[in-house]
Amino acid sequence: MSMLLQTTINGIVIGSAFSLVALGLTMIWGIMHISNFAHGSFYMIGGYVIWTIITLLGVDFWLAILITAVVMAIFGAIVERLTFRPAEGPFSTPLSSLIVSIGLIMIFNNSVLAIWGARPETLGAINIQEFHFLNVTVTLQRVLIVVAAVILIALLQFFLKRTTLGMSIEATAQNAESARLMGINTSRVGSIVFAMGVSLAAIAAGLMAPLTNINIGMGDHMTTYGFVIIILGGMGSIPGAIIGGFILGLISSLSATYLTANYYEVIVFGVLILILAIKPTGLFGAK
Amino acid sequence: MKKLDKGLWMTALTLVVAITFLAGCAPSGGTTTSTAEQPGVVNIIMTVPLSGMLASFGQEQQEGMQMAVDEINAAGGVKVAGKNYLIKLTVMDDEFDASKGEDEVDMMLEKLTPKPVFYWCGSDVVGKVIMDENEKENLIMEIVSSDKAVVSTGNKLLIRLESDTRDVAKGFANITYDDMGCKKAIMLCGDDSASGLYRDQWIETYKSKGGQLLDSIDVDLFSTTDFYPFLTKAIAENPDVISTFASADSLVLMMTQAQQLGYKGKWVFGDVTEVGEVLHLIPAKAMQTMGTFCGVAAYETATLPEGQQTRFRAHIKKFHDKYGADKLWGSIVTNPYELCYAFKYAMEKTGTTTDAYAIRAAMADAVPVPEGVYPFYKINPDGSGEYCEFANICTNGVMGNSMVLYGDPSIAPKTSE
Repeated sequence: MSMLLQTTINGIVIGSAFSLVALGLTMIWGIMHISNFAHGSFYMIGGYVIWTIITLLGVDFWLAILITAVVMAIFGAIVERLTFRPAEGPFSTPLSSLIVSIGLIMIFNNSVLAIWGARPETLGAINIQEFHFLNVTVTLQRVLIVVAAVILIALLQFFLKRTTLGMSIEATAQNAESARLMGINTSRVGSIVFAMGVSLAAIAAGLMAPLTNINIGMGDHMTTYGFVIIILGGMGSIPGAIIGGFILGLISSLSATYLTANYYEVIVFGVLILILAIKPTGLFGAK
Repeated sequence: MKKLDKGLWMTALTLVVAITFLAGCAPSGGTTTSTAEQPGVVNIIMTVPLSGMLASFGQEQQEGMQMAVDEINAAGGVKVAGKNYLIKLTVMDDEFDASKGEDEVDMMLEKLTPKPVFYWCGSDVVGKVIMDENEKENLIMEIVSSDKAVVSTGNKLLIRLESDTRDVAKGFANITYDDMGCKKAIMLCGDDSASGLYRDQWIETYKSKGGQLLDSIDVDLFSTTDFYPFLTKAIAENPDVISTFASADSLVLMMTQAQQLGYKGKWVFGDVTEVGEVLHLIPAKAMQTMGTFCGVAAYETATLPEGQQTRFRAHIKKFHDKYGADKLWGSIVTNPYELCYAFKYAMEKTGTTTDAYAIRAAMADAVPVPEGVYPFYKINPDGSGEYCEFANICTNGVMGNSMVLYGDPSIAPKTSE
């Protein structure tokens, strides 16, 4: 029983990070219709940025998360303006943004290699206080990952539903042409959404950084999992990304513990195929 | 007429002075006199993964080779048949891709002058493709591979220095059972092919001694977001020891998280991780409660003769000055460093920079090289290298004596002082 509880908690912790990554990805898809395969690379850069801020500048962990979120939002906006937006020109094809994102992966990976080197980095012990109950162990950092993710998701919902800019984003997501006719600057909305998406990925990387290595390959699986989640939850659906993230976290944790650690990705993709067979638009996708 | 002659003489004199001056400034290949004083060039080529997840592995190999090249060139180069040669190292990123690596080698062989006779191949993914061609190309080739089967083809120009991962696995399984007294084990290692070789041999040896394997869990160590799910499963089976084959960074995370989950058992590392690296990464206070673990002895802590230790420290300082204090001097760096010196001495002994077969044969006689700080001591006729490696058991941060993991400690390490 305690192993089941421990495994469930493990899944919720990983699922929180998955949800944040998928939220950014689904927003970018929902507003801009960009399949941003470089999303995992933004996650990776976010990890290196927070490592740099903490280890080299000696900044407190939570302040470092905040700085990373802002730095990466600005970086995301610049990247969007310089790469994805020009690819939307009159000669663009559905493949344009795909090719841009693949090019960005190469540029980001090699830039990270040049700046931070090839050796993995670790943040070391942060918030390692342990809580024990019912033969289950949870560290403070793990609790904080879940709490931070829930707060961020709530703030994001508030922003989208209760602010003018948020409603502009929702309007653009529903119908960009109508939104433009109503006077909404959809290009600006696109930049903001892209910046927010990148920022969410960087925050997820920062939250997970004390639990994992910061290395050049850390974003690869996040991209894959991010797309699995948003397909599972429904492309462009924010509730879908949140629920999908936690579902994937629980599947990966439960299958690694109870079935086979060696093939848990097979199980993840198996569940995806099963859900799509039953509901092709995903759990929360519009028909 | 007299005036014209004077003008001609002046023009001719000016031209002679100008030509002499320009010849003096020419970089190389100018007049016959200056060429005779210019050193020749010996090309070494290298393909290693310098991007992607194996970038650090490739970078360390490059640094080892570059350090030897720089030292040799700074000391005047290679002296062959009365002429000095400088070594020029050309390194390309194979991206751990066989076809890319093959194209790069073809390009370097075609474009570099003089044609290279020594090639360091930093991954067996690329090497297994090239090793069919290297003899035809008159190219000595070192292939970095943990599988000794690659040197069983009779290729006379092939060298494979690395220890066979199966020998390491046997050594660690013996130590786990005999010296650490662990009878119930979990194997938790990476899901790549090298890890697989290690895992299978370790399990076979451990079981043959009477050890009980509770479970074997493969983990993608590069991309795993969190080790808790794997460790929860492993710890629930109550093992005496967790045997791993992981890099120090992943290992430290695993050990820390296992401790959080209440694991009190021991750890055995594969040869990917040195005990010294783990000591370096875990804060001293946390180390006091980290329990017992066993891994390859860091070169600093292995039982070396005193002179060797002193020389090693001086050498490591040079290495840190060049590449940074956080760099680790392990076999990945040592092997290219020492083999480059073996290549130098072999050329000097044979008096040729072009006859790959003669140089390759002489390289076996050149080892262990005097510059080697913890060297492989033999290149066998089939091209495989031999060296001795030690293991350390560390309990709560206190290092025990070194034990022989494999190899013959009476031969290695060589003391040159």
